[in-house]
Amino acid sequence: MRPRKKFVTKNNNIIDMVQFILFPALSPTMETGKIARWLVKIGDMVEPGDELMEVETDKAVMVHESIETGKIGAILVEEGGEEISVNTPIAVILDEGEVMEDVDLTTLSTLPSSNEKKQEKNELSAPVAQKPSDNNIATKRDNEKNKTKKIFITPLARAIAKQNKINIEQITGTGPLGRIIKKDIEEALANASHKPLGDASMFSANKQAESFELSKMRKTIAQRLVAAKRNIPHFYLKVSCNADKLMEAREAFNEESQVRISINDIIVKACAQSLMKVPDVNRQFNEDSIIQYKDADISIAVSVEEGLYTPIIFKAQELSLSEIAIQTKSLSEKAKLGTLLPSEYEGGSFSISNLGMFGISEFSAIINPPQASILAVGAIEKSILLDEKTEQMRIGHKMNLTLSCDHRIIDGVLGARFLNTIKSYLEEPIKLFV
Amino acid sequence: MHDSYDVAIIGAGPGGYVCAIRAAQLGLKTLIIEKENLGGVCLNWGCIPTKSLLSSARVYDEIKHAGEYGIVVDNVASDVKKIVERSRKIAKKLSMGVAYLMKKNAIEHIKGTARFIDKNTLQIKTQTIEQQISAKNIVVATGANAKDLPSIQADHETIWNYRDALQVKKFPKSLLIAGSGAIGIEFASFFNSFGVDVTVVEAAAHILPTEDIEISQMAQKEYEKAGITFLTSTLLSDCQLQADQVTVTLDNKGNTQTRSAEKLLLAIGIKPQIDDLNLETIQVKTHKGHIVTNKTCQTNIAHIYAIGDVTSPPWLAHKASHEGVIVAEAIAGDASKHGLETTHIPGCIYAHPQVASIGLNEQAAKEKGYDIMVGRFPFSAVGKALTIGKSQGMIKTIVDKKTQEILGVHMVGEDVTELINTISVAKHAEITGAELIGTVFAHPTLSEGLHESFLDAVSRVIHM
Repeated sequence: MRPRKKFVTKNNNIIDMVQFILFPALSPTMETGKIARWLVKIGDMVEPGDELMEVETDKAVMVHESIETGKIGAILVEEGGEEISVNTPIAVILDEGEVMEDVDLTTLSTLPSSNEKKQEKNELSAPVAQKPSDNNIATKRDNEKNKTKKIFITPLARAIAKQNKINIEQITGTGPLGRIIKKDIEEALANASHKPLGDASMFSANKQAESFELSKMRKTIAQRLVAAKRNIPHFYLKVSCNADKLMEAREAFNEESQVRISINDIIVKACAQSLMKVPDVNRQFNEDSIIQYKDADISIAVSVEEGLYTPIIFKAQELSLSEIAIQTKSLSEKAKLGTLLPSEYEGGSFSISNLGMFGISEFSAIINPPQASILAVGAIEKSILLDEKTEQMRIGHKMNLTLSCDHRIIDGVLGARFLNTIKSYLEEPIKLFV
Repeated sequence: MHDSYDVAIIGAGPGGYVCAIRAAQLGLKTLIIEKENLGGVCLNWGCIPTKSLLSSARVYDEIKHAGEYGIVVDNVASDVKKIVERSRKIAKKLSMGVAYLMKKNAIEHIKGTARFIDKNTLQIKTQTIEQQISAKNIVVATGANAKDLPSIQADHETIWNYRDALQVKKFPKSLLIAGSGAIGIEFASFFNSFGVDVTVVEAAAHILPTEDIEISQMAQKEYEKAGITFLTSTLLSDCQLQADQVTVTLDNKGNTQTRSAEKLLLAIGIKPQIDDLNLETIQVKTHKGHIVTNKTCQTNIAHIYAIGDVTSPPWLAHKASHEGVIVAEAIAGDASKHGLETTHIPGCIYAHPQVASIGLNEQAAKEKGYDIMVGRFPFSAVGKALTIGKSQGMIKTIVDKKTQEILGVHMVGEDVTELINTISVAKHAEITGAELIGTVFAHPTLSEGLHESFLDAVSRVIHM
């Protein structure tokens, strides 16, 4: 468990020790998030297991529970505010006999932030063991200031910054006590030394257009996909499957199964089996090394109103079709409600994106990093098919599959072998049960 | 051998004496030179005694209207001698207060005049001696005096300036006032309250020409209701003195008429007092009679500063005081990066009813290219105003549509000179209309009108 208990000393001396609630990391990769809603208020008594707050990450909103006992003495970060780093002190928790009046919050800035956490792990575990030298304090403070400082800005300056899409984090305040005032924003505008949040100049020409702030999720999607498309050398393999037997199989399965089994569930199963058969695809490129996965942990793209989630069917190779169907249904619902846990969408060795239900014949997907491939599934369409044996034309069902591969670890032949394996399962679903 | 100071300040008005106190607080060896009484015009011949006179007028007005409140008062009479005496006493008391503050802060005070010998040396002349002092920094805070008309000069008998009016011995039957700025309007209101037949002549198209037109029109109506006559767009072209009256020729866009009154008060403006300073020798830059300064009140000579009425408008005591602080801090090396924002300086007129404003008026805001929202709220819809029997007037707010910046607030009505400070705070702290709308204003207070006016600007007014 990450350290959650911190102490702060008054005037850098060990006088008062106050316990803080730190902003939690809900997953190993989480760096920042927001407090969507506080579920406690100042003065509330909390015990381990009590619901403290709703935390919004780039993927979900989750209730976070207390592991401390005590009284909420102060709430340091308001709900719905700016992004905050993991391990930022967000509330003061008082033991019996402690009162807020004794707490010197001005020393807050001496607390290490999440970025420093890694380098300073040892120091963290014994934060009050020694009085740090003045030098140390100064550097730490400066670092901290840049990281998690609250930006003091007048309402008017904020309004003008917003109007002009100025990033206020870049601006030094010259008002009372370093507050950012109107003049600072105007100066920034004049110098254009700021980083624009968007290209406002192009936008303003179009009077009909409106500007909205990106949601957290949209920002994450944007960042990840730009990185994926830029960093991963994609290549694409396309294949057309005869889907007649797939359609028949689904009917047969659904006659037997308690839960409704979809084409997608069969595709998940087919991919899982194929990953077992062609394990070289079930890999991740890791700069100097290759990570080989043992299980077919298959991410399935689920569209929600503000973006998409990729919850994972873990160990899909071991699951029956009905188990896959049940899990898929449950994960999709959670995705739509925004209640997915990070453990339900982080990881995964392979992805499936299916736009067949939207009538898309075929498309090419962007790889979901750090995975090495993704299968884009098109719609099952009636088509004129050529029977290879009889060389007769007939009307049947076909489905197009496109496999996007990371060429750094998957070469064309390997990809082709894998895609053909998937195709063979989907064209003869009975093989799935060998 | 002569004494040497860190700062020498010429003039002990609200600019000079505040500058001296702040300089002394910051550990600077400070000298202040004043030719008259400590406190300057503001305290001795301006803000303070006029407010005292207007308070007497207010009491008199209240008593005259006591019946409306169910109070019966008979045989109301005024005693002009006591009214003036009271105002002199208050001025004297405050002036002594300033003397105490000089002593308390170990500021050296010389009663006399000063003129520049060179950039660091002043020749000081008192009633008894002449001496030279040198100072690292010199602050010119000599203020301003009443302007005469080119063709008409005050004779202090029939033709008054503000000092004569302040020391009135007997209320005249009739009074002509040239100029409808703050001084003209305040005297008009005072004399009118005591039954003097007052006519105000204004060259501009509206009275209180620097105020928002809507406010000045509303104020004019209220003053006319109280009995004052206004002649706007009218020039005073000639003046004949007779035995017991003065007859002036008035020119309204080519139509001339004559008008007589027992007294004529010149209230057409002020001119900076810089003539005796010998500024030419050290080549301090001036423009149209006032000293040119930068935002920290420095003149073209780095260690010579100028504050208050000797500099550019607005000519207000609180502006001078604020500049005094800016200068003292600049000299002590503690300069703020920002000078005084003109649009953050409130202006007040203490006639009945009062006028107060801050920032841009509607016309100026539009001329500057702002896309504005305008809110208006009448005191007739404010509960507190009705209970105190002062329902005349209104509050007008001008807000930038994009940012909700408070561009200007303009008011006419009871005690609006107190309400304006709320907006001064808001403007300085850069609070916008959005925050004011979310603010809880106590009920019942006149300030609720401010709240409603901001609400009106965004079409959310409640009580209208």
